[in-house]
Amino acid sequence: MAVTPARARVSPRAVATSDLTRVGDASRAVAVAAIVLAVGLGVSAASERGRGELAAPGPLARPHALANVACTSCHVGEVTQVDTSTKGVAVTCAACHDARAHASTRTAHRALAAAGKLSCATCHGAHGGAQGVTFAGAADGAFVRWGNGAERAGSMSARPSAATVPLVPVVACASCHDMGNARDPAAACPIGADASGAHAVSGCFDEHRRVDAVARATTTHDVCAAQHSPARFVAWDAARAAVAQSSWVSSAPSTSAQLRAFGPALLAILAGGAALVLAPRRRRAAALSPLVAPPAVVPPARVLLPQINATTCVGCYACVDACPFDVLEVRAFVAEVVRPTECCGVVSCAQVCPNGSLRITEGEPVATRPRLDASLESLDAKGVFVAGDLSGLPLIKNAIRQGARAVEAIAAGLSESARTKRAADFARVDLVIVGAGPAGISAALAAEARGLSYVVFEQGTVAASIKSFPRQKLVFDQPIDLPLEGELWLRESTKEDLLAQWSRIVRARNLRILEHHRVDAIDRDAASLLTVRAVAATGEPVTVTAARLVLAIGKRGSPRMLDADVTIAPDASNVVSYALADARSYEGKRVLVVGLGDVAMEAAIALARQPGAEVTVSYRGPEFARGKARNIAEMRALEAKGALRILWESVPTSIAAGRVTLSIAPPSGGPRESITIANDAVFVLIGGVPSWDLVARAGVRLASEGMPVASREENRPAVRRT
Amino acid sequence: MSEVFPEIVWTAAVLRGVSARARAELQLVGQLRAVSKGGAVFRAGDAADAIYIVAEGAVDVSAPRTGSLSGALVKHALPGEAFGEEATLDVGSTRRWEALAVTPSVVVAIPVLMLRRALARAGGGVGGVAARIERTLRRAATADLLAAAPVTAGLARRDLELLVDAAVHVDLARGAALFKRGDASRNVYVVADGLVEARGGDALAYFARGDVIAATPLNAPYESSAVASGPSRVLALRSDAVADVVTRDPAFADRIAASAIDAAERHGRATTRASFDGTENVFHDLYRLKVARSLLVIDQNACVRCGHCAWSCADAHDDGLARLVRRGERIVTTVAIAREREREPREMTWLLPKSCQHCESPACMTDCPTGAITRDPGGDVRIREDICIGCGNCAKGCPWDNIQMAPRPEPAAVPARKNATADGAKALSSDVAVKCDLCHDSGHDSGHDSGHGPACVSACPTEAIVRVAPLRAFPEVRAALPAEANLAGVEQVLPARTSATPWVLGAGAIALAIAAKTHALGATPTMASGLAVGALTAALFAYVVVKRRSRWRVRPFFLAHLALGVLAMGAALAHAGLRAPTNVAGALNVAFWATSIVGVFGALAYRLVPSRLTRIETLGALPEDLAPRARDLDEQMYARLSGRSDVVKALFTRILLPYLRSPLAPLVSLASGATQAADVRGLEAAVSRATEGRASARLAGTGELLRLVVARRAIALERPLQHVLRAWLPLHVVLTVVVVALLLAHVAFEIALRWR
Repeated sequence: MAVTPARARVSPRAVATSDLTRVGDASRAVAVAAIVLAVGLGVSAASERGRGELAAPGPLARPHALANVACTSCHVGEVTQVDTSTKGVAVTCAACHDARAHASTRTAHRALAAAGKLSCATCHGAHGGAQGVTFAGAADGAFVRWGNGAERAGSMSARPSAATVPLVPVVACASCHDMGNARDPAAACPIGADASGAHAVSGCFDEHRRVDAVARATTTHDVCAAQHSPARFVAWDAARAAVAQSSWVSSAPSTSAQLRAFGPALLAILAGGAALVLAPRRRRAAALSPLVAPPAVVPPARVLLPQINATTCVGCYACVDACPFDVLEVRAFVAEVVRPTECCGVVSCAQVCPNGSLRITEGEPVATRPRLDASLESLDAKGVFVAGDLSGLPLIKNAIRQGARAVEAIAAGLSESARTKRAADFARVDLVIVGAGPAGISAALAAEARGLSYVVFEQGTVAASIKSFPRQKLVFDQPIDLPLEGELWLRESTKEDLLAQWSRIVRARNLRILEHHRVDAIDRDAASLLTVRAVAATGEPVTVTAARLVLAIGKRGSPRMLDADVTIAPDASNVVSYALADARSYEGKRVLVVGLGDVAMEAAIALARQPGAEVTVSYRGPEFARGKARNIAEMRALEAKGALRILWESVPTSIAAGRVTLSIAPPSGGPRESITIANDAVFVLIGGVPSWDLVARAGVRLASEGMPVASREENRPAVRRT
Repeated sequence: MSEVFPEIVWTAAVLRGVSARARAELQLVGQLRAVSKGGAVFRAGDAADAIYIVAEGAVDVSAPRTGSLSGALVKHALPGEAFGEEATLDVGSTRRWEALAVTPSVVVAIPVLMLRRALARAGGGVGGVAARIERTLRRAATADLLAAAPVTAGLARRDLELLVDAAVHVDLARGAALFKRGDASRNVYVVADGLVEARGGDALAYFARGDVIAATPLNAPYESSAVASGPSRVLALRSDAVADVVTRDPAFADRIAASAIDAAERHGRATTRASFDGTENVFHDLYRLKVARSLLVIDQNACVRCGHCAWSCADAHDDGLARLVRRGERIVTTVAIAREREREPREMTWLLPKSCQHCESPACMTDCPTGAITRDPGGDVRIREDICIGCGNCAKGCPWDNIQMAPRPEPAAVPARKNATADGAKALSSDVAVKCDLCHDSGHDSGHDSGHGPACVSACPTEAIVRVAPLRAFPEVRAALPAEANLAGVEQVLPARTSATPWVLGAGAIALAIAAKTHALGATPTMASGLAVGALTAALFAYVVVKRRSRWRVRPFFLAHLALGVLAMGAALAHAGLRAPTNVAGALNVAFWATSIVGVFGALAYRLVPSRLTRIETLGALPEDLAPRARDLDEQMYARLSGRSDVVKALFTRILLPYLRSPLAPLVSLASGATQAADVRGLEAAVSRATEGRASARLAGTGELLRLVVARRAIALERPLQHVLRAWLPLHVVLTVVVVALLLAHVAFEIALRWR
């Protein structure tokens, strides 16, 4: 129940969470929208400035504007809302226009006015709503059609004398009159091209009393005299003609015009805002990323080994935690090299040492290193590239970089004309990749990204080597930079995590990987094309011709098989497996594990932990010969508890469904005897046979000439870190 | 940096023969302290981290006058002599004696951990000090412990002596096993320090200082395993010695048996609900609660996930990094709350975010190779950046990831690797370890008496975040570890949260009255109402500044903001109604109502969402954690599904997938307030209906699958809820800025109008 985590190997780094960056992706969008909204509001406010009164609900009618009518002429004191009732007319309009003189000729309208339900402003909008025509009285018949703060000039053949004719929008009548009903007296009033639309104006100019009669008698003002001359009827006719040839006038700009005007500004603000929001985030993220040197691509030529200055080492464990192979240990508060033979030459220990007490020294030249140039191409076999563990540089992250690097070099070296189209049958491709481990998949992704035609042969399943990693946790101190996929950040993850990511990528990218295809021959023809022959698990051969070859087969090789003299009954062929994928599916089963290396021990431990599983381990030696101390201790404990049984000095001789026969040397001494145990599954985990012969067949030579590499024993399982 | 130590210090027997390098290191971390006559160098109960050497004057070490030892003088230390060596025995424990200066004195304090390293590297081994002192001190400590432990307290002096002789100290690392189930019992164990947990079988118990762990009967194989929950020290008493004592004092055996039952009972009593959805009871990691002195906890039902705690933390530090990350596990405890004494203790769901808890025995401190991590007299754990070499050992060592590595604020360019020799201070690496410093270093007014707390606590608008001492604040922990709780002191009562409801309702009533009196919608704007809205708006806007810059608690300001916001809405109705003419005044009114509506939405979200979110959340998660977790759950789900029988797969497609994909059902469970556990029960019922109780054998183990499915769907619900809590705020802020800008314009134009 209580958590008992193993000590972390990577120190957690400070992160800038969304609590600090404050604006998440969604809220960033909202913020930008808010900025735009703010700008819109600002623009709407600003667009009203400078046009007369700031608080005005619209521009004044042209005659009033020309006459310089001030706000205070109508709006008195605190009252901002003009009283437009009859009483108000007396105060406001009647100050200039004689109320008696402008009485309506229509009884109904007069009655309404008397009741206070109809006022000047009902028909003649004070702000914005007013429309009209003003004749200049000039010889060319020029007139101005005005309304809503705008005006439009025109001319006609008739030449009325100077006069202004206000046009009443029919909308003003529509509150009482049914303009669509032909029997309504007002239905006849609308005139002009727009007669039926929202911008119709009334042509019934006889609303007020016969002006010629009244005006002459009452008016003393010049303006009134000019308006109320006998030529008023001419002006009315001219106004009707003007309405017919001109349309509604308004200063309100169209939406599209507004957008044209403000669009660029809005876009600029939007972009600026977005940059503002994003910029500090990027800065902070950059500041927080660790300072780690980029990983190497070309393997070191000499054996590297850390050397520790004991007088300065503070014993901080940084190097111990950084080492993927447990080469270092701290004793008496000083780091020591305790397993020099395990050193892989990746110098992460030196990188993390806080005070430079740990230095890397160079030793003997590495013998089992293929001769490669900087782009990982073999110096001896042109067109053959080596990536991954096989190149002599371990770790997943290096394999990934190498795979990508090799394909980059291939893409650069293959001219467009030399490339082949992708085809379904794989008969001719740009490159063949052997092995679908980290390097192979990275190469395939890079080939996919660069549009090369390729095929991957994998003798087992995708990333089989990862499945057999003995270490539970893989440590990544940097994101893995995969071609196409981008950065993959795993930090401390289990190999299952990595495997899941791997399978997801292979599935999602639909990589051309042929699983269970074992490459058994590589030939070179006259045109220096490579012919690669692979054999499927079914025995069916596949032959591919390729311009380039990437060897990404790692050092693990193929699993070592049971001896040929072990008889396997035909019905038991699916009982034997060479890798353990998932221990959980062996719940309650009787399982035999052959071998006692780290891989076998960890498989046995995992199996023994399944409820009801009965685990037997068969080993040819008399005691633990190698492996991690932790695994051995665990095996001993499990054996003591009776959770598993170890048959020392035993070898399986025959396997049948449900039982296995082993030959065993009895602990008491004496001749070997044969025992049979009940069994459901057999795991043969006795290391691998490295594929140096395939490397040799591809023409790749090693740094050490003449070394009998093919016979080299290499069954130390790959322990890796990134 | 420390002054140079007088030469006489190096003549002390303890330090004789240390190398030049060790001298430099000790000089760096050591402290020169002047003590006036009669002043205390340390008192009983202080943390025992250092060994002292007298440089001038004289110091008397004596046992406290109370207790079994009657104020006896233990040591009279003269210049060049060391005292306080008992710290070498048990780093992290407390002093049992007190040291007073006889004359005005100067003493040098040397952290024991550093001394150990220096001596070990010099090749002499710890032997010099430890071996010599340890024999006597260990024996004394063992005797003390056995005399104080309830089980052995009543033994005859001779029997006690026998047990002291038979005792062997066993040190256990966190997670190390003391014994495993079925092991033959050879010892009876008495816990000296730390916490040991019994696992397996039905009886689950925790053993702290003074508790006895024994098999019943004494020689039977153990029925459970015992594992150290944290670094622990246990006294192993040989069974034969115990049996010998038992023959003379049969009650001893009964007391041992009773002690085991007692431990199990304590556990049973203190267990509260624990559900799979990530909320655990205190036993999930009792060790953490035992050692935490100042644990940061966030009440999940009040926390509005605004992240101001972390934000203010980043602001309080020069490097702009937060020492607090709102990720972590959750626990359920009951707590006592001030002004609620008469009620039942309230059950609370707490998030334990990543933030230093200032442990009683800090793992980071023991791991630090340069002694950069120290404890101040109050017990707060601090990192001295000038000595930190950025090795990351403390960050790796903290079991709860509460220390992070960050770039050194002023990078000393390239690490000065050449002169790393003796002068450790010059070898500054590019990284430095950072963690919560309780705002001591940032000048934030965090004194425990000031009442404001560190930045994170004072910045919380809902008072959801508090620093507690679990041993004092959580009754479950007190019940599980009674002895420790007694040492820790009186029960901590948490302050009650000021409720927002009366403020908002009161303001609402006033606002309604104002609006009704002026029959708002048709009223004409007046100068008076305008000034009122303007002033209120200015006050509301000022909250932005106050909450970001204030050193006081933000909560009162937050409440004022809520109340003023409601008032401002009423005043705005009275001033301008809901009119929106096309001018500045209109734009202002539109913007005001827009920001007000967003604000009201936010307030409602703050009130309603957190408790719902708490019910469906599994862990304390930031919004950006949800997508990776969803992916993770998907993968777990499919991994669990692969290789299962067709029945399970059919169930998955017929019942679980529709459950996962249903667009409306999550809203229903949100509205009903169902927990994940309830959803799982519902699904289980659906599954058993579908299978009609058959195929149960093949369905074994689907429980975990159901949980994953429910957890997965909860994330789909968590995401919008997190967004609801977060997204309105930027909108509110931006609109408020617009309001203020328009308000200024409106005022300027009104003044211009009136002037004319």
